[in-house]
Parts: sequence; structure tokens; C-alpha cells
Amino acid sequence: MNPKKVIIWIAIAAIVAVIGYALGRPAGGVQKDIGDQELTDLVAQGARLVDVRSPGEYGMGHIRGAENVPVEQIATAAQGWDRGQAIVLYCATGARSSDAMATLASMGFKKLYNHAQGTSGWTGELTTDTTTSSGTIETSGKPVLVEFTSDG
Amino acid sequence: MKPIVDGLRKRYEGKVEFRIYNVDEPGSEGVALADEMGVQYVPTFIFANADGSISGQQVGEMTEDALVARLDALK
Repeated sequence: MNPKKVIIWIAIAAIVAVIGYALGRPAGGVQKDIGDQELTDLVAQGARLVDVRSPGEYGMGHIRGAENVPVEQIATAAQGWDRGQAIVLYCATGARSSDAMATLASMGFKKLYNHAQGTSGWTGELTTDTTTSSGTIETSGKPVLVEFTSDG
Repeated sequence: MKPIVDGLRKRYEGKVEFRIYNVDEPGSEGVALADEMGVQYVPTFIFANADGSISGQQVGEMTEDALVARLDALK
């Protein structure tokens, strides 16, 4: 084969690969799989930590500080989120969180991190109790359930 | 969720206080409180113990069983 033609085809293939890579990720954005230490570091830096499993799974144990948004609700829940904030997603094995990451990327979120091994690979503690950023609320001495709703 | 929450409200009467805020009412207490607590999606449930400490938050709909489990875990 003519060497010039080979070089031309290699160049075309390289250009196609670069274009494909560029189209596959949000412009100026990050989408990557991470491990335990990166998750801990990102949360310490202010990332939103989202558990995309079912409420039942979440209730059995989750990473401290995580909010539970099941994967089928992520698109709706994320409509009001800051698209510039780093978001760390996890599930049981990394599959649902990977789907959630793709959904958020299509919505324009720029900094997306998937804990690839999920809770099954998490070496830290799981908790059944969380404290939200709100801290405390006033009560009359009884436990309280607060619901924010748009039901009539 | 309304029928489930209304049913549980009766079931837990005297044991758990239910505070339901409709964020569709502009200028309402619910809207102000949602902003203050950083709530961005409805429904959002916040579970608080008797001492006021928040034991958990759930974004999105919940089954009755999941709600009961969380209510029973409150101290």
C-alpha cells in the first residue's frame, strides 16, 4: 500500500477519535470514575453527594452526608441544582450511578463523578442516620416529620 | 403521596408531629422554610427526633413502608 495513503488514513482516524472524544464529554466538563479517597476529598471540598439507590437500600446504610435521589427521579430532582457544583454519585455497584451521571451530563452538569464500585466496594463506614446541613429544627418535644410538597 | 401521608398522620397522632408545607403557594411559610432548609425538589421529607436533631432527609416519593420505617426509627 502507498505509504502516503497510510499516513493520510492514520491522520483521519486520529482526527475522528479526537472529535469523538470531544463530543462525548461536556465542553469544559469533567466526568470520571472515582474511588473512596477521591469521594471523601470531593465531599470535603463541597461536592453534592447523591445516593441513587432505592429508599429501602438507602435506609439500610449509606455513606454519611449522602442525600437519596433514586436514579429514576434524578432528572426531575436535578432541575433546581447548581450546574457548576461538583456532584458525586454512587449506587450499589456503579451501574445506576453511571446512568445517573449520563443523565446529568445531558442536562448540562459540568463536574460529575461516579464512585465506580458503589457501596459494595466502599471501605468506609455506612450509616443509617444522617444529619442534614440544616442541623436542627424546633419541636414541641415530639419527633417531627416535615414534608415539602406541591400536593393540593 | 397525600393519601399515604394523611393516613400516617392519623396513625401517628400523638406520637409524631406532621408539618406539611405546600410550596406552590407563593409567599407562604412553606416557600420561605424550603429556601432556608435548602430544599429544591418536592416532595422532600425531613425526619427530626424529639430533641430537634435531624435524623434524615429523603428527596422524592416514598412508599408507605419506607415512611413507616423512618418514622418508627425516630427518637
